[in-house]
Order: sequence, then C-alpha cells, then structure tokens
Amino acid sequence: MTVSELVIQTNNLTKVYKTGRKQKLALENLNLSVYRGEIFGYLGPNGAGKTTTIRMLLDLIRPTSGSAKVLGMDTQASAVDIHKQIGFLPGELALWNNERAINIIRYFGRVRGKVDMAYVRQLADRLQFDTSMRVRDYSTGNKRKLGLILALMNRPQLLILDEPTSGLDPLMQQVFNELMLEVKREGRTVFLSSHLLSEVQAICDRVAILRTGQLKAVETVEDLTHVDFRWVSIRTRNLQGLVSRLGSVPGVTEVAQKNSHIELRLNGDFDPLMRALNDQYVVDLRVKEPTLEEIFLTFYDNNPAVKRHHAEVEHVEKEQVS
Amino acid sequence: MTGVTFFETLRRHWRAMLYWGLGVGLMALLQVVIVPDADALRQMTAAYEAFPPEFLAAFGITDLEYAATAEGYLASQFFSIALVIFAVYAVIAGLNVTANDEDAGITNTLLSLPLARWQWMLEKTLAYAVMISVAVLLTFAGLWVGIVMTPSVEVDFGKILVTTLNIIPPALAILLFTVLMGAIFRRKSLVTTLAAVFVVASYFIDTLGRAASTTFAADLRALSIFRYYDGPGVMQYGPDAANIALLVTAVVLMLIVSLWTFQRRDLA
Repeated sequence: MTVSELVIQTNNLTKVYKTGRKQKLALENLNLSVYRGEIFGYLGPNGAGKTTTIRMLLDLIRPTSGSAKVLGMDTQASAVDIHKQIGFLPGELALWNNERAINIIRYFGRVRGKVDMAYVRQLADRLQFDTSMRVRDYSTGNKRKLGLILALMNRPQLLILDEPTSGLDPLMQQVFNELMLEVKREGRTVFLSSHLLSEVQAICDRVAILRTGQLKAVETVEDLTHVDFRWVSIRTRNLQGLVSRLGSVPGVTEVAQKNSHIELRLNGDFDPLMRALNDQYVVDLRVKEPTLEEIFLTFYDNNPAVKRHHAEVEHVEKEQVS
Repeated sequence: MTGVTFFETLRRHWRAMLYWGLGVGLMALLQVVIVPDADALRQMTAAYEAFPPEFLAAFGITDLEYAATAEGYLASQFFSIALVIFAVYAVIAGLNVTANDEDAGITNTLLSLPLARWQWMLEKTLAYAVMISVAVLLTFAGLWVGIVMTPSVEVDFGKILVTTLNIIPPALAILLFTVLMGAIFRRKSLVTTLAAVFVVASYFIDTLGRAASTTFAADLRALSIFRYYDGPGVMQYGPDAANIALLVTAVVLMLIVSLWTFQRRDLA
C-alpha cells in the first residue's frame, strides 16, 4: 500500500488529561496507519484510550503532543474539510430528547449538504427504524440505529464508529456487518473501536490492540488467529514419559496430561512437535485456534485463557466419562 | 456561514421565545391597565414622601413629581425590574448556546459535522440574540395593547418603545456573558452558577449603589450591568448613548473572546 492510500496516520499522538494538579496519561506516542478500503478494528478495554484517540482524530480534543492526519489532512488545521468526508458514531450517542429523529436527520443533512434522502430511507428500512418518533421514546438499540443512519447518510469516505453494535440485537448486528462490508466493497474505510472481539473478528481486516494508552499490537485478524499460538490435543497409545519429553520441545508450553490425552500450547512451527512424536503411535491429534479473546488477553500478559481452556477440557472430559 | 444552524436554532426554540415574550408582555399589559388614575398617583407619591429618599432611590424613584405620572409609574413599577426578568431568559438562552449541549454530550456528534466550532457557536448566539430581541418587542406589544385598552393613561408611545428597546443591549450582554462562561468552562453547573452570580450580584450592587449614593457603593455600580441599563432613567431622560455603546462594545468583545476560546479548547 502506498502512503497516498493512508486514510488515518498518527505520529506519536499523545494525550495527557489535566484536572487540577492531577495528570492522567490517556494515550502515549500512538503511531497508527489505516489504509483505504479496510475495516480496521481498534480494540481495548474501557479506559485504554480508544475514545481519546477517536476524539483527537475528530479534533474534539487536541493532542498534548504528536499529530494526526485523516484523509491526508491535518486533524487540527483541516477539521471541517475532514468532517465533510467522514461519518461518526460516538460510543454514547446523545441527541436532543424532545426532537423527532427525522428532524435531526434533516438538520444533519442540511449541514452536510447533498444528502440522498432516498438512501437515508433505505438505511432506515434495512435497520427497521421508524424515523417519526422522538429521541426520548427510542430504546438504546434504536438510538444506536439512528446514530448509524446519521453516520452513514452521506456515504462518507471514512466511517469512525465507537462501539457501534452495543445495544443492537443479533439480527441488527448482522445487518450492521453487511453494511460495513458494503462500505468496504465500495473502497471506503471503516475505523471501529470495540471491546467485542467477535464483532471485530467477523468483519475487520486488521486489528490494533490498545492497553492503558499504549499500542500493543497491530495485526491482521488472520495473523492473530493463526500465527500466534494454538492449543494442541494429542492422544497416543502410550503416554508414559511423554509429558516431560514434550515439555522440552521448542515452542511447547503448558503441557498437561488429561486422562487419555495430552494438552499443550504450541507457539511457532509444528515440526519440532512432530519430530518429538516420531516414535509414538498417534491415535488422535487436534488443533484448536485460540479465540481472539484469548489472544487479546495474552497481549495483556495475564493469562486466564490457559486456565479457562483447561477448565473447558476438563468439563468436556467429565461429560464424556459420564 | 451557511445559516443552517441559525435557522435550526430558531425552529427548535421559537416557542420558548414566544412564551417568554407573551408572558412578560402580559405582565406589562397588566401594569398599564392597573395604572392608578391621576389622583391616586398623587396620593401614592405623597405616601412615598414618608420613606427615606435612599430607600426610594434603591427602587429607581428619585423624582417624586415624575413618579406621580403614568410614565413615572411604569418606569418604577415595570422597567425597573424588566431587565431582571429578561436576564433569566438571557441566562437560559446563553446556556443553550454551548453548555447544555456539551453537558449532554451532544457536541461530540454535532461537531463531527462539517461545521467549524466558531461557526456553530456564532450561529446559535445570533439566533438567541434575535429571539431575545423579538421577546422584548413582544413585551412592547403588551404595553401597546395595554395603553390602547386604557385611554385614560397618558404616555408617550415613543418613550415606551425606546425604553423597551433599551432592554435589548443589557440582555444581550447577559446572554454573551453566559456564552463566554460556557466557552471557557466545560461544566454546566459552574457556568450556571457564574451567570446567576453575575446577574444577582449586579442587581444588588446597583440597588445598593442607588441607595447609598454618597458612599463607595455608588462607585461599585460601575461593575453592575443594571447601571448601564437604567430603565427608569431612560424613560425619564431618554437613552444614554454612552451606556449603549459600552454595552454593545462589551457584547462584541465577549463574542470574539467566546469564539476564540471555544475554538481552541478541548470539548467535554
């Protein structure tokens, strides 16, 4: 990809919040590149700095240091020009409670200019959204739908969505996924923050993982789920001494015997493990990809995934025994 | 400047403007209708002579002979408090410019639109300035109807109109003070408190300064917006160009500082 295809580029973007004498580092030296036509997931737990990043990209808050470019333009110097080409859905959508949705849509349309109201009606139909009601009468999910319509209505080159599917039912999440994939097919870009890993896994091309204001990783979803590590379950005719032998194989960790089979975690290539099993009669060998959540937690250096995985295995075994 | 936000603000808030204007207008109408006849006015002002002059001055009555006229009555009974009423509306309007939307989190969505912050603030401020002006004119309409309904009340329509219009500059100054506080501070509660303190303190400083005209309190009146309003004085002597010029200058300066500050700071 060329630099000209960069849609979002941050350069050591840093934000420190100051309240009185207290200072809180919300984002530290963020260097991020998002390219045209991709769906980019921005993952992290609450307080990781996702919304802070988005608010700086939109020029709602200013960086303490560093800079950011959106669609090739500086976020502070060209905020209005950038906003002409983006659609934004905040994490907590707030609008005037007494106003009818259609009036808000019309106002946003007039500010944006050249909005295709037929497309707005089409969006409302697909999301099964009634635009005639007052904002205060909508459920959380329906407010989310209104936010999506407001973000999508001008067919923006870049969609910035903060926790977009929270409050949407599974059917609407499916519609949302379809809409995002349509945006991608049209060569437009989506930048979405989430703590729902399944959401990211379903539609994102690449994922950035953020923790306590620091970027921990940027990977393709495929790389994250395939390259990082796997859970391997091996059943041989004779398990005697195998646990200690496999424990010394390069890339193998967390080896444990579970009744008739051995569970282990494998990082890297399979070859060393295969060679170590060379003299064994392998009855069964199963490989389980880690979920994005497990990878996510692994990035955070605390490893409940391991415990959970073993708990799952034990549970399955008990069921099989019974 | 597109004007979209200007007209949207008018569309969303014209009813509130109408209620304020009609409400104060009705109050003004009643004040005219209940103006006592000439004898009663003379008796009333004779009773005033029993009060200390400082006490009467605090309520804008410095000329008992003038107070015995219908115009003097309206000046002391209506125009002395008209700005207090419009100050409440101006503070509410000022909070609506940025503070309420920012407090509710609405600015996050609105200012992701292709709309410069200064433009959004300017269009809303202008819309509220128009609505305050219209509400004041509705008050004049109330006075006019009252005067037409009571032919016995002899007043100069021109003076009534000028004195009513004289409410607009200080009301706009209070609007802009609130807008300025909203531009500087992110917390709505703080903005509301500061605007309320500004109005209430101004009123008391002015009242105190009128009553104690030979003490330092009289000098403090320079800090009060009510000093530059002086409704009863305008009714009797005509508008003070210097006061109006000062208020208009303050309005323009506060607007410029508000736009500059809001454009630069982080949103809540």
